Amino acid sequence: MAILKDGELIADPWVRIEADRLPLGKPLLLSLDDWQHLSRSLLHWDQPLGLILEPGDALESLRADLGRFQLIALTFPALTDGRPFTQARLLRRRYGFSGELRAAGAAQPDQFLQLHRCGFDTVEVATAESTDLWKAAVGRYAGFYQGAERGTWERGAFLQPKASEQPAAASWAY
Amino acid sequence: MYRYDEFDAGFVCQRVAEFRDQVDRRLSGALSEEAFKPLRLMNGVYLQLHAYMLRVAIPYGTLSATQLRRLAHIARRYDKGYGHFTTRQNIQFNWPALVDIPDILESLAEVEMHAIQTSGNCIRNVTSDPYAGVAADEIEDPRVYAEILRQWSTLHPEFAYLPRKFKIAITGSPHDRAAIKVHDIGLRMLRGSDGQPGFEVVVGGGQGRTPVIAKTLRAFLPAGDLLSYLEAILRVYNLHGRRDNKYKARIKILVNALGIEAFRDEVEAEWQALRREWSLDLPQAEIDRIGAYFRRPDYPATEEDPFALAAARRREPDFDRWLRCNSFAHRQPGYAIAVISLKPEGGIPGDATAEQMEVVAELAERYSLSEIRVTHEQNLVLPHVRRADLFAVWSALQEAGLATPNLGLITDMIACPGLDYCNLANARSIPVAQRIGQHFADRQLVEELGPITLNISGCINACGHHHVANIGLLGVDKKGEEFYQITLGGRADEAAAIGEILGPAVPYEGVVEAVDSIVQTYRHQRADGEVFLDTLTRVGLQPFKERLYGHSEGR
Amino acid sequence: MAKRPPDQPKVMTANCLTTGAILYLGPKGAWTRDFSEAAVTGTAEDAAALTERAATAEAQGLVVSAYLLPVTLTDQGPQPLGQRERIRAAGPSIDLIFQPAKVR
Repeated sequence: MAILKDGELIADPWVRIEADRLPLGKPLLLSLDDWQHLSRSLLHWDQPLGLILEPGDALESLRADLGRFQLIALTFPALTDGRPFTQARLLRRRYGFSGELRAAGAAQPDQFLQLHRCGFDTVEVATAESTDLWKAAVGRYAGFYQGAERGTWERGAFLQPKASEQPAAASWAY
Repeated sequence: MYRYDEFDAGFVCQRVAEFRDQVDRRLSGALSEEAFKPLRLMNGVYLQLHAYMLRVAIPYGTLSATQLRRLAHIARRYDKGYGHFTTRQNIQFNWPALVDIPDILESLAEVEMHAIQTSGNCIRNVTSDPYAGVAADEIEDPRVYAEILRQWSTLHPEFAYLPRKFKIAITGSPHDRAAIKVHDIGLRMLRGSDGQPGFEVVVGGGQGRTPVIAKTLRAFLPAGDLLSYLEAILRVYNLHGRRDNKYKARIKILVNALGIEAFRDEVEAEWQALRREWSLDLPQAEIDRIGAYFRRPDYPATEEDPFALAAARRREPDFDRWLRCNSFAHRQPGYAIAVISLKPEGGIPGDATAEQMEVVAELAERYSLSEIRVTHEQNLVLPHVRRADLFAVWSALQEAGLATPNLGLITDMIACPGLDYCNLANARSIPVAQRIGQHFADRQLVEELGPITLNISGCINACGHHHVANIGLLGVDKKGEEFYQITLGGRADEAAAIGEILGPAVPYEGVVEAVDSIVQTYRHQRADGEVFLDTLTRVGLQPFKERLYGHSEGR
Repeated sequence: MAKRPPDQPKVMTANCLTTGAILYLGPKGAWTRDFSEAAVTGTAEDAAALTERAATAEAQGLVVSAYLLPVTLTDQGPQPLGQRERIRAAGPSIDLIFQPAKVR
């Protein structure tokens, strides 16, 4: 799996727990279950932490912990499962998550535009051709009818974000 | 009518380019069928029994003469010379080649039309009262809000991959001509105590294998809160609707599982949170901008000569009957709403040939301010006809085979394409409708029977709205043979109800006889002044069962 | 041991990717619009061979939605089983465009 960010393939520094051992000195990606079991022992962890969420995971109970994560990966179990789009917007706007939002799993190039508009920064992709598809998708429309987490909207201005609620610029680069 | 500005026009062209790119990638092999299918559906392209099918949106059922001419052109150039108007105010072409579809869409975009979200698990074409803006009983014109909903739902970034399709209907009249209670969300326009416009919001209606009449979610929602409230409903549905079973994925199942109170609490909590994050009110400038397109037209002054009309009615009994059956009260004095039935006896419900579309387009230009409406009963409407022109309109329709006087009568059947075209169907619908139409070819008798809705679906997905018909026919497959289950007592208006199953399904060959038996029972039982539903309500199913199945059955 | 019932004869069908037209797989591996020219399987091995050819054609982007449909052998040759496949093979059971004159 490669990672696409702003239409470019990037190296993925994140590693997962393998055989119940914490890989030292690397940004660590945890499942919700891992996090619930390990959060205490990770109190003094000095590397970035990331969280992988499934579409059914409730976000409300994580509110207090979100500041611990530099990355949240939202899982698309199938192309047709649209829950992560809502999860992403909630994380960005309601819970103020400003780290990296990643689309993991079965998201497809023809969803790049929605991913972008819903606030995702990066996406797991299978092939290198995805870079062109990303650029085409994100540049295709001059504007939209709805406000979103990103992208211009020229018309209607239906559901515009309140100025004070604009999410902070992504601050996850490290 | 709403007209595209530069932004709308550019947007639709950008969508065509995106779809053209997707088709190219499919044809080159870069996209698998599995990956392409949800993408083509989201733009109205099905693979049906014999060929691809393209479903084009007719937003809230309004068409210009220019647009209808273009549909005729597409039917002739890319299809087999006809199109099929559907129960959701769309038109379907049954035979386009996939390679031609991007060109068809480009041609549609030139006349401000598209196929965006006419299928797929997203927010579908918003439907409305076909008499919006002209009905004499209208409280508020729903088209402004229908257009706002069209724009808001178009390429909404969050709601393109819902658990299942999502249908919204809106009406502005107390008499519901948009079947809002069998939609995922139904909106009925009201005036609040302070005179401000708003909506009753009903939710969780639908047909299919679990027919449900929608429940009231909010008795009054101020119009300015419309989008934020709908956004909250959609968000609750997107997160919590079932995705493990497509037959349990519609919002009606979620509403029933939670109960309407708990569902309302969820929506309310989401709405309150949303309104802290987003500017809530619909921008008044935008309501005004869109509203300007729907201002009452300047109706040319008209002098009605009641004697001339009466003389024509005496001279031409067929015109007289058409006037009684197919014209309706207009809010502008001297004008009428004229409905063009697409249900000739023995014909294919909802079908129109390219030539017929052109005739209607020309009549609209001459007599109806260039406007046409499409009804969910699969008919066309000339919404602004001077009463003085009615005879001329009728004469031209008569010439084109479009003057069938049967609105709301038993031969004004709704029928889905059925097994003759559809991949999902279990049984045919069209030939059943044709046989019933031929059987009830006596127009005087049909008028005497009074209002009866008869709808036919070729499978339990219920595209033919059989659940909400006074007489519903549902095609089922019994060991490879076509059978039809009969329901009685459904209706789709403000008193919407689901029909009750009458008894065992009847074979294809017995359908006409069965319908005739039901009609004979009604005639026999009918008291003075009763319509079919009155009689049915009074006497119940039993006399209908006895006559159709004999005394031993159906107890 | 009970004798195995003879294999149900079958025909491979699909739609043309570019036009959507119904196609049947012929004995020489070419696709045809005409049901009567379709190859009829006699054995499970035949069916497997047709399935493989169809899968290749799908992978090549020639056809879409391929499947085997059961047929019955008659004096007039193989006939599709079931109303759906009969209509698919013969076209809609109605005149595509209604001609009022024909009804009256």
